[in-house]
Amino acid sequence: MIRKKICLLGSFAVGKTSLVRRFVHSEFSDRYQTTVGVKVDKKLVRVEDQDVSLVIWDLHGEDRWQTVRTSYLRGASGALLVADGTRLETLEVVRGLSQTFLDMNPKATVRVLVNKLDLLESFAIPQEEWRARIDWAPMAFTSAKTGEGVEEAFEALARGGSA
Amino acid sequence: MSDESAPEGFAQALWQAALGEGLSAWAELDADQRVVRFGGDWGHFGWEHPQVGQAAMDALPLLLGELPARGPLQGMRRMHAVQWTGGAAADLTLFPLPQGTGLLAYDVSAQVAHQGRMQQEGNQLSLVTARLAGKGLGSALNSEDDLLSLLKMAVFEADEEGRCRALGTLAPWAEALVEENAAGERTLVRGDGLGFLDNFLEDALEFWRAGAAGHLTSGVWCEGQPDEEERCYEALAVLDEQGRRNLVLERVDARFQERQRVLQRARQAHLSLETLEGEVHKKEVLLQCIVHDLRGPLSNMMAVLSLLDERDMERPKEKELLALARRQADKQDRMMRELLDIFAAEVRALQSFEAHAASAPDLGAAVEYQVQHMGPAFEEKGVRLSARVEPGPWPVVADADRLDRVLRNLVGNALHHAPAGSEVELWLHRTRRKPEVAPGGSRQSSSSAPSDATAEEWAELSVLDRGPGVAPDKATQIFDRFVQSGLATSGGTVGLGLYFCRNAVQTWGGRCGYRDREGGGADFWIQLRPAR
Repeated sequence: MIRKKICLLGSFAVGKTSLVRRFVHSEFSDRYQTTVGVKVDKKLVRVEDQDVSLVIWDLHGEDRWQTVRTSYLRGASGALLVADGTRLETLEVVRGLSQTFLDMNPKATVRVLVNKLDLLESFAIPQEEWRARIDWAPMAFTSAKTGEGVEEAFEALARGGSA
Repeated sequence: MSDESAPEGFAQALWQAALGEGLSAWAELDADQRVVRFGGDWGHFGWEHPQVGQAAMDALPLLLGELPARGPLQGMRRMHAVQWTGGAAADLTLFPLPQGTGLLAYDVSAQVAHQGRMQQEGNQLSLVTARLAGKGLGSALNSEDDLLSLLKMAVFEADEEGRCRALGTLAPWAEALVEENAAGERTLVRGDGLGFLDNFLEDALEFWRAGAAGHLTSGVWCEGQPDEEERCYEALAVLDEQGRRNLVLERVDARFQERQRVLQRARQAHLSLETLEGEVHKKEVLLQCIVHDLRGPLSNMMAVLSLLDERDMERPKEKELLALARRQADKQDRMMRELLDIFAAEVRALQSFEAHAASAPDLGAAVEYQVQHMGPAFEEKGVRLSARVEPGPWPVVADADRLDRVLRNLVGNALHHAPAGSEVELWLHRTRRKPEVAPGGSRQSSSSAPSDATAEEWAELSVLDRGPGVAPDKATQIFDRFVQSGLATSGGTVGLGLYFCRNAVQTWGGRCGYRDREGGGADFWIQLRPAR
């Protein structure tokens, strides 16, 4: 069976843990619970008639209290870089983490997710502008709350990239 | 908690956004840095409660050096973990406000204490590992079982390949992590190579091979399904004095929960602060918009009326000017009536724009519009205004109304500085550049667009004057709020026009900047993405 390590990276409170919960357990909670350290989950997905075991590393949010250890990124096939659509500054964090991740895993795949699509009216900038600013990597809009775009995001990484 | 007056305006926003999160203190200062109103519990931080009208630096001496003696604060300032004698630790933030300065302090003593505890735990762990390394694990396990049990640790010895054999008696939680091999040894179960412990063991092997002193920690990780108790661990690699490779595995559930609680509180406070910053910023933008909306048409109207004073009303040109003055007056009247509506709509409008060619504004047409409508004001000052526009069309990513305002501010700025008898030229042309993906970055004082094959063709508008230009020490800040060009001739302006330009252009994904004009003068430029 193919096994792939996927990392979720981004600033704090952008919804990384919620995306994992939605994808792995089909659950969502509005209550914000900060992640300390790393939370590891697994999910089996079927891609092009093959079983792929995803080992999902949900890494704590990057801020002045916690920074991501680069050793956590080792051996990853892909990363979901998560920004919060209502907080433009989270895109800067994503860009920095993307570079760090690709330095560690040059052949890996990254995908930027602009999360909280259910709060579209509160987005910091319009969707077109998010697209324009994220022209350096594949990107998608997601909502961990409604599930929109979540399966597709993980499955896109399950399909591509190698460690 | 003390609240000397009912909060209103900014103070009310502070009250709602921040005070609900915990013990806080706040104050609103006027332009002379004197206390206008205040609230919260100042005593909690060991500070005397201020008096209305008191100088802020007298009330809170730690502000010395942080606040200007008078006038607006340039940007936001933060002081982290400030601790006054006998008081709780505070994160202190100073906000620029339209009428002065806002001050907000909130309690971070829990975070500070937590950091202290972490440091203490780290020191304690170092002592334990030093003890283990000094005595050798065999004797440590015989004589200090109680210590290991107390610390909720399980100890393993690793071989060259990283296989970890359990030593001593394991607690039930650790028993679940081992399997027995053919030789009857209990070894740590290895995963598929992608799990957390496998990852850490790679680092640990390097650490052991290097023969380094001290210990290597893994950081906290958690495992578990939603319907079961989450298990949190931390691992430690240490080399004893006999050169044996020891792995210490620790359950850290309680420490994890405490750390999570503290971090959560800190981050929620941070989110509240971000929300507050956003609200303050919107109000600032709103103020700029109102100032410029009122000022622009009025300036034109006054210039036109000034011309009419000198001429015969019967001539067709004057009738045309009179009609223009009436239109501007009507516009101002409409704006006054709709002021309250604009308050709500302005910020939304600033954040919207057209990106499709069919509906996007045409920059060439906007330039021609400015030449036509600013013409009388230029004529009155004896400055010629001309446009050089390369063949269009020029659909750009922007909002039509705000684009007009950006151009009006740039052209108005040129008029302000251009000497009589000179010419201001608007030059619209195409330039090749890679799109700027990161926010910000428009403050550069010169532009050198890359021209490789992947670059995109953008629209660039230069507003060129023969004025004295911008002082070199101001060139990088000229698009900041309340910054003027540093010239004697700039009196009377409030320094918000270029700041508005920067905000609007950045919102559309474009850029703006300043460079000296060849032959003398200023070149203020904007670059906008083509609409498709």
